[in-house]
Amino acid sequence: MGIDKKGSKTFDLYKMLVEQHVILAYEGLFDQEIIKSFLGMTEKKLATDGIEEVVRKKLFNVLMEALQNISKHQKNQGLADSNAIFLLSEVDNKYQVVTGNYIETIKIDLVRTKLDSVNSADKEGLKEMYKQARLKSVISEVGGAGLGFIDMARKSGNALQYQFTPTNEQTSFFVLMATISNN
Amino acid sequence: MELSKVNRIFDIMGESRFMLCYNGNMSQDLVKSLLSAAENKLQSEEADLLVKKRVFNVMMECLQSICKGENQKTEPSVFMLGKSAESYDIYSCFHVSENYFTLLRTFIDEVNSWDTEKLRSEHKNYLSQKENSPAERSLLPLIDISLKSKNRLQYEYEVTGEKYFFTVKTSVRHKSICNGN
Repeated sequence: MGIDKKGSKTFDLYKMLVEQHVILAYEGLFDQEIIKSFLGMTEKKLATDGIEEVVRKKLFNVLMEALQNISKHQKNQGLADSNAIFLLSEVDNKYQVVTGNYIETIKIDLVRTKLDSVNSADKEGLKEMYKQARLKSVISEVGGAGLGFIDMARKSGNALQYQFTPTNEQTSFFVLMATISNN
Repeated sequence: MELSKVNRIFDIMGESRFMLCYNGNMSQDLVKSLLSAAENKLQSEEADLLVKKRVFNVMMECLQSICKGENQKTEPSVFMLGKSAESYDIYSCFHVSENYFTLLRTFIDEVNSWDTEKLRSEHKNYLSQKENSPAERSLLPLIDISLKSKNRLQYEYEVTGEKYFFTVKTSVRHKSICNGN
């Protein structure tokens, strides 16, 4: 018995996952239970693969931050389509934590400015930015002090990559990627 | 990873309603974690306990069958959970040799031709046969999956070099649709 049209997409998706070295992909709502499951799963996967503790810890922290960010934004954005995606990939001795979610197009400039400022700071600069952001930050404020971005950049030790793709006049799709080197 | 590909993956997952995908080698620890993630997802998606239980049991059998699969240690496998208007769909995808492919395909066609009584009796037969080869033993979960899902197994394959990439799709219907039958 053959698979219907939807099923034939499995190979397309599989090819895409393999080409992009994706280990885990999730699309939907991000609640605390799902976040806990992914953190647990990643911990097991890394332990099974014999990854050293420093890298495991870094990846775990970045992952937690990325998942919490996406969960918070999903709750607060109030967009008609609040679906979001999370991907974990491993390529060239590096782990990549990728999140994608809808964002109001008018907020893009603000987010871009924050990301560029985080990416242009060195280790000490990030530390200072983190202190300042914590003082200014209001818990659950969306598009607040950018504490999540600073934290992800600090913990990953790498610049954050991002992309905005317009989906309609009001909304864009925002992809954010943090890279953790496995050495 | 190319950032532009994230949008494409998001689109494919959205269009085809894939919720969770894992691509890699499988271990018992990972099976437990994947089941836990899928269970949490079901908790928020599905109110009916019976459907939840059925989906969970099918997922467990599918993951175990991947775990015991022919090339599990050398080739990554894929597990996916999706949801359509009619059912939850569980996909197990793995690489198999030509010999195993023939065995698997013939066996699934046979399983699909059996009714519930026959499935039950064949399940018992398989369990009692001590002289089954490992390949034959690895087929046992398929009877279980068919019994637990109360549905026929669907499959498709692609030739990848000397091997086959084999996908088994199992659907568990939502309660309202089960009741309609």
